Amino acid sequence: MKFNLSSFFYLSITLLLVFALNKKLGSIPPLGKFLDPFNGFWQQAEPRNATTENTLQIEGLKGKVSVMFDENRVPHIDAENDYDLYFAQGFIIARDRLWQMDFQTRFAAGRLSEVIGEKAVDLDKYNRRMGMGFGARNMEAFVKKDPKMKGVLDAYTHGINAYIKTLKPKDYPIEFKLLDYAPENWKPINSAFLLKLMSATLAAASNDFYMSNALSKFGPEVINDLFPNYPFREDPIIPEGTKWDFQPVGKPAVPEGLSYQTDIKLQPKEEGLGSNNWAISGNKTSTGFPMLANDPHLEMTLPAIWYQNQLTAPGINVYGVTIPGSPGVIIGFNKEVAWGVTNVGSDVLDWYKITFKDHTKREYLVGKEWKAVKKVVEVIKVRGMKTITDTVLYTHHGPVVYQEGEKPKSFPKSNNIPVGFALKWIAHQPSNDIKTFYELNRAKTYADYRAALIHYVAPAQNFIFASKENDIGITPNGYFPLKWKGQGKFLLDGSNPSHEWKGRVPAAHNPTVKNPARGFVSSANQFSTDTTYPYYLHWEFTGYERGARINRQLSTMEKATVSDFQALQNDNYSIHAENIRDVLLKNIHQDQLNERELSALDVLKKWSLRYDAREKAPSIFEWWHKRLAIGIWEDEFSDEKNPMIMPSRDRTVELLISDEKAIWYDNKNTSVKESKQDIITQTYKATIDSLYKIFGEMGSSWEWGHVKGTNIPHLAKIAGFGTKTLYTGGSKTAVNAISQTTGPSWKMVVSLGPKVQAFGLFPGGESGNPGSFYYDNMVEKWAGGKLNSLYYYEKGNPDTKRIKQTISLISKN
Amino acid sequence: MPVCLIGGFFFSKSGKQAFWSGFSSIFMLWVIKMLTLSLPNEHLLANRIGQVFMLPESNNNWIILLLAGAVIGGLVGGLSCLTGNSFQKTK
Repeated sequence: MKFNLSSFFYLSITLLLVFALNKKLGSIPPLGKFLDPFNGFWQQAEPRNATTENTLQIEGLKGKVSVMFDENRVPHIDAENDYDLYFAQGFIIARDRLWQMDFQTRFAAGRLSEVIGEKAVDLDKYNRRMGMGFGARNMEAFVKKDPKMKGVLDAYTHGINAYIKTLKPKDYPIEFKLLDYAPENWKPINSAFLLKLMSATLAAASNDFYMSNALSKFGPEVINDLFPNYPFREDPIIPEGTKWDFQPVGKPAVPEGLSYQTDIKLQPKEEGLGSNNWAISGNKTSTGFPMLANDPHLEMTLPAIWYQNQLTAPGINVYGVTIPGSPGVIIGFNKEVAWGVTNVGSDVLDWYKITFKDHTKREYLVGKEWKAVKKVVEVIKVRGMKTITDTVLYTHHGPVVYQEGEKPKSFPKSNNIPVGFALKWIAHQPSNDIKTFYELNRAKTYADYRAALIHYVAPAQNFIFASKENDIGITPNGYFPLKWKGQGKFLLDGSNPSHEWKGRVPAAHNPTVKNPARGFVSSANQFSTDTTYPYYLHWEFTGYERGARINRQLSTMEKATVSDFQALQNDNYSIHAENIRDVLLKNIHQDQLNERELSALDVLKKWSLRYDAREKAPSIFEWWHKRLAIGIWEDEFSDEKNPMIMPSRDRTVELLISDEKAIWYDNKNTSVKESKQDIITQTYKATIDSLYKIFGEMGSSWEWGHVKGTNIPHLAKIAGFGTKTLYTGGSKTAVNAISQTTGPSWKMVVSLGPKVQAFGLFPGGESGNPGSFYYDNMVEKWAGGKLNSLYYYEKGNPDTKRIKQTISLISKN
Repeated sequence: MPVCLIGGFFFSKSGKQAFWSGFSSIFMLWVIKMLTLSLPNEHLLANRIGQVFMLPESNNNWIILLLAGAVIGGLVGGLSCLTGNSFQKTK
């Protein structure tokens, strides 16, 4: 053997190449490993049809579990006991969605930097400072005290870990390979983190900071006028006039000397996430038994947010969707009952100004006493960098999310956070929410439904219910803090004990209605009740348009069928367009319009008020009414240093319908005094101009289906893993609430009776593997407004026509 | 890589031959394995991965990935063989 210069050279080159090909360079995965067909991405390329039978021996199982997959690869799990059932659920869902579960847990726990590096540090700090970990730990500790739920969580955890144990690096889901990291063992607290993520998505809205700034600028009279505590038009969830059958525990008094002043570019108030549900009693259906529908609206991503599965074991046989990472079924049905949820959106997040004793910030004022501050040090590992630490100050209210100098410069998520204030958030409260779903999964009657709701804390949901026994009901339900009217509309004073939450509304006093005279119940995130409800839940809810349309349609239904419900879920009619289209047309200066603008106006005149994909009018109307709202409010409500929100759509509609001379129409930034007609005309012209600039001639490119640009991206925004643009109709003010990236993440219709029948799908697929034909197989059907017929497996009686593959899990003992 | 380091040392005649035999054996092995996995998948995944690497959406991305991957694998194979060969006493 000889070592000379050339051999040294070749050896070095070879080693260098191998090294480079196995190293992640920036966001490029290690190329050698990734492109290698024996270990790389090719291993995740699945054939279209799986083998039909499979037996897996797994350590930890007590008995045998049969997992039957139907034509949509929905698993129907049949186990002999609860432990094996949740074990198998964990195993199977990990098999399909492991990376999603890992990534979303890391997101919630503020551990993305470990994988992604420096650019995730602000986000990780934010999630930790908001107390996501604080809340998850509190939830875990509380659930562990309940032996049954602890058992469920443990079994589920063991199942996930049993699956992870089977993986060799070549088997890792593709995103692990792309981001170059390995899956880690699942812990029960991860399920808590995922439930906290739901709270962060649905129960973390806070305009308190913006409202306080607005109050400072305009004073209480204007604020009460423009931001009233009940909207001009409403169709509440609990029908108007429903009597309350309890004695309220007391109305906290509004403290003296209120109006917290702050020392502080317009937030166009983007419509929050919402959902629809409704149920109709047997005397209004064709079958004589109730029907129920639910479509929760979320930010749509792939892998799909939800996962369909059926859980069968002694005492339970439930079908529905679950959140990957959390055991049980969240929305679904069994032989006797069906249930669903929409977001309540009550005020469960408040900010308390902290008065520190001195610059050491070791103590803070409460009443006349100084309380000790608790310092918590978060340790954040960052890929490619030194580990960083972040110190957060905790008070009895909660964490001071940002002190002076801590708010990151360009991090939009933190825009609504006031500096120097402690966060009081329901998500920090210990809770056993999974117990509610555990009991709903096994419910047989209305009484079971009501009993299940008691455990539930957050995020508060409008739980709708229907039973084979012909009961229907709805309950805006969760932990509602006992507040004085308007408490939390503005920032609060952390040193004033009378500003704190006074306990909770007793669970039995949560608003509810059973079998109302009108024969149906529904919710679409609007106000829970009329103004007679004795407790204060919030001053603002989502607009009434969807709820009103749903109620309008349901009230005329006789002998309703599944198709009627499906049609209502797909309904594109907008009550908002109904409210103002004619007002706008009446007030426009037609003599100031040119030919293009007049022909577009004609399109608007002839419009059916439906946000149908093929129509051009929705594009014009949507851009116009948004521009008009900004035109009316922006000059007064934008201030870079003291950001505010502008008045709601409802308040704007009230203005346009009933106020001819309001000062708000005038644009303060111009020397001219604009009238109502002026601002309407100007914004119209600007709208048409923009549409022409971006979409060219008023032809098919102006169709709403194209302009809306609905698409479903990958969870980590990986190119090629999302969908292309989908041509669909819908609007946030129509029942079919599809926007650019939000929409019905699950659509379900259940028809109860001697044999339950159900229909549904979601925009995605059961598999989280982009290399699978079941990754996005339901998207097109979803976009077309169709539903799949769901297979409800009966124990011991498998339908061989629908079952395409069976996996038997047996114990390895 | 180690296989070809040793093989190149013991079995190859010239550097050029070492390189090309190393390259082509890995190249062919990888192409066959890639096709075995990708064809039943109708190239669904490979075409998506092409977009991850900034290729435009196309049904032919898989070809580029296949060639790129096999070339890279072949290169490592060929270089290992060449390195092994370069340790030979007589040339």
